[in-house]
Amino acid sequence: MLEKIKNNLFVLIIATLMVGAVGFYIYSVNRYKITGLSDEKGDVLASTSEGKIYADDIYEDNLDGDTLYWEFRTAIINSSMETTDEIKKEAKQLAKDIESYYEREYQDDNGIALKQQLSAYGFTGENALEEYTITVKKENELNRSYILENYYALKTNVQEKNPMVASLIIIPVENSESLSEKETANRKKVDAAIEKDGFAEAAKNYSYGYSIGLTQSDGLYGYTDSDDEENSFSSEVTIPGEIVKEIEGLKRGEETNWHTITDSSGNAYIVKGHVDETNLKKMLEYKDSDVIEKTISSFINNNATLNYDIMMHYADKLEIKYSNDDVKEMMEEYLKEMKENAEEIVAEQVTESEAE
Amino acid sequence: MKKTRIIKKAFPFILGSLVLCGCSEASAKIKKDEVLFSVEGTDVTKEEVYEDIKLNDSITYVMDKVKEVIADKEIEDEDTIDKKTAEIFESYVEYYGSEEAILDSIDGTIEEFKENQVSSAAKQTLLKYKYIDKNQKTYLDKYESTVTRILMLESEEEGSKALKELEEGAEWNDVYSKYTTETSYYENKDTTIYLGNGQISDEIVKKVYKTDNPGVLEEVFTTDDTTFYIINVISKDVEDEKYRDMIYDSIINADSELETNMWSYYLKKYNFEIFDQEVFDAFKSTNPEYLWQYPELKKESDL
Repeated sequence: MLEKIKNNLFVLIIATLMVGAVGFYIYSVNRYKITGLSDEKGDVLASTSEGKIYADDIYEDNLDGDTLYWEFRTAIINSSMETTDEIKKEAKQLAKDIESYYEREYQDDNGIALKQQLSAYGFTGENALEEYTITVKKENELNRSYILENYYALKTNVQEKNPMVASLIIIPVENSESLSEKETANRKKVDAAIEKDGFAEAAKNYSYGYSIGLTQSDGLYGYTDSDDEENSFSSEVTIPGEIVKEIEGLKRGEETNWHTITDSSGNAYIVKGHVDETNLKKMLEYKDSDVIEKTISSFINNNATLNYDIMMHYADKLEIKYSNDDVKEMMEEYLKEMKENAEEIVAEQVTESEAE
Repeated sequence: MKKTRIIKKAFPFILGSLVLCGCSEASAKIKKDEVLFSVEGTDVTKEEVYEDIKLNDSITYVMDKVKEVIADKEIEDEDTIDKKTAEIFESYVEYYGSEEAILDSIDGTIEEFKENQVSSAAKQTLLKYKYIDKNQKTYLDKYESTVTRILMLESEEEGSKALKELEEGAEWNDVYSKYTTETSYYENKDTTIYLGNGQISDEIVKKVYKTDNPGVLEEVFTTDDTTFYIINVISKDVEDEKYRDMIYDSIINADSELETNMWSYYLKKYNFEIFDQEVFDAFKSTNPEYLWQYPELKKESDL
């Protein structure tokens, strides 16, 4: 026997290590796996020695108009528009961005944190994120289409906010108080490039913006309006209010003077702003999807009933069937309240503007 | 040849073990699924809405239910509950200004509000008292709480004058009215001072706690030479219910870990268990301290 063990010692060691490794793997995978429990009353969610909480309890006690609304809204959006390849592509990118954000913010708990957030919007299951991002992209498209159809009735409140698309050129400098000869020469070179090739081309060649958070290499900052008092467009640099105000005072094609700004770490930059577009309708069809989305948001934020109106506009075209009167009443009551709240905001805004 | 055979035999074991790891998750479902509504033939079912609710509301819902059950079991004396309920309701009235103002901000009647929310809050407070009682020495030693009245002054000279008048037999209320200033942080009301209270320094709190008898302390206290205090010790007797509540309330305010530790204790005592993997994961992520079966999770989260 001893002879046999001796002859197979190496194999035994390997086998023992393998069994140990597998054992540890099984232990670590199952350490936080729990088992379910059911009885004649149904599946149990949790229990104490004093009693059980059933799956049906949480449903009965928490079912309300708000929960139904998010499912209703998703169903309206998805029934109103086909999922095109373009939508799928954009949704995939959005899903990646959301995943990265959650991984960064929640680290090991990112999975459950994301699941919980998606469930608040009515998305659960394995494909929740994909379904959510597709719905978001479709909703944007439906909103844009409705706004374009009703553009002249909706534009007034947004135009009052002086909306525009702006770009920035940002160049790091040594000293915020005075520029060196080299930096002054460089600034003149940029001015000449703006004059010759236009702001976007000069930004592409000279702006430092891309690496500090601007989304486009041509210096595009994006949508802005008079609601923006200052712009923290990256974690490093905030464009001070007076520069934002100066940009907002310009016409399409005009640019600000050079300004010096300092970031939170004390690094100095010179910055120049430029107005790319002021035509609101063109912003809804802009080449950059962020600009379009922010323009749509501005329409929704500045027209209190628009969110409700858009949803009901599409809902009215669809066949909606309720399985029982309680659900119908709960949903209709919620929508009614939503409409009344929106109308109340509009009435308040009218009163405020009359008072002014 | 033999070696290969042994390794070959090990493979089914390894594969079988790995398969075991992939078993389906525990998932609590509602009893009867049905369609709630449909849009253009696409059904939205009870199960889908339940899944939204489960992921979104389970921690709050489960903990509210469990806390209620445990408080009902632990706190049974109706007179004590009624007394605490009345006391808490009074504090609501004081905060809102009137019963009518409370009525405007709640659904239902005042009686229903008292019976449900206020009574439940009273039981939760009494449960905390019970937990402090159980660990009384630890908490009293940790916070050294004393019920006092504090006369805050702007100069040592004023303090000495006030103290002299008190020593000569003047009444506390009279001296208080005479020397208190508009900038005083304190009113002439019973107030509990404790370690880490943020206003009176720990050095003074410790000195006050060492005093055995009630009465005005013969010292003008200061730690920064700009604010001066004369301290009238009222009580640190936790056998007296009135002062016990004040002292325990100060401990509840001061100890940010008390509630968590208390629930860890009671959840273990009442054998709290979860039977749905997603609900478990949600607890593990946000409230691991409630998973008493896994104490290592709490330690990890505290790092």
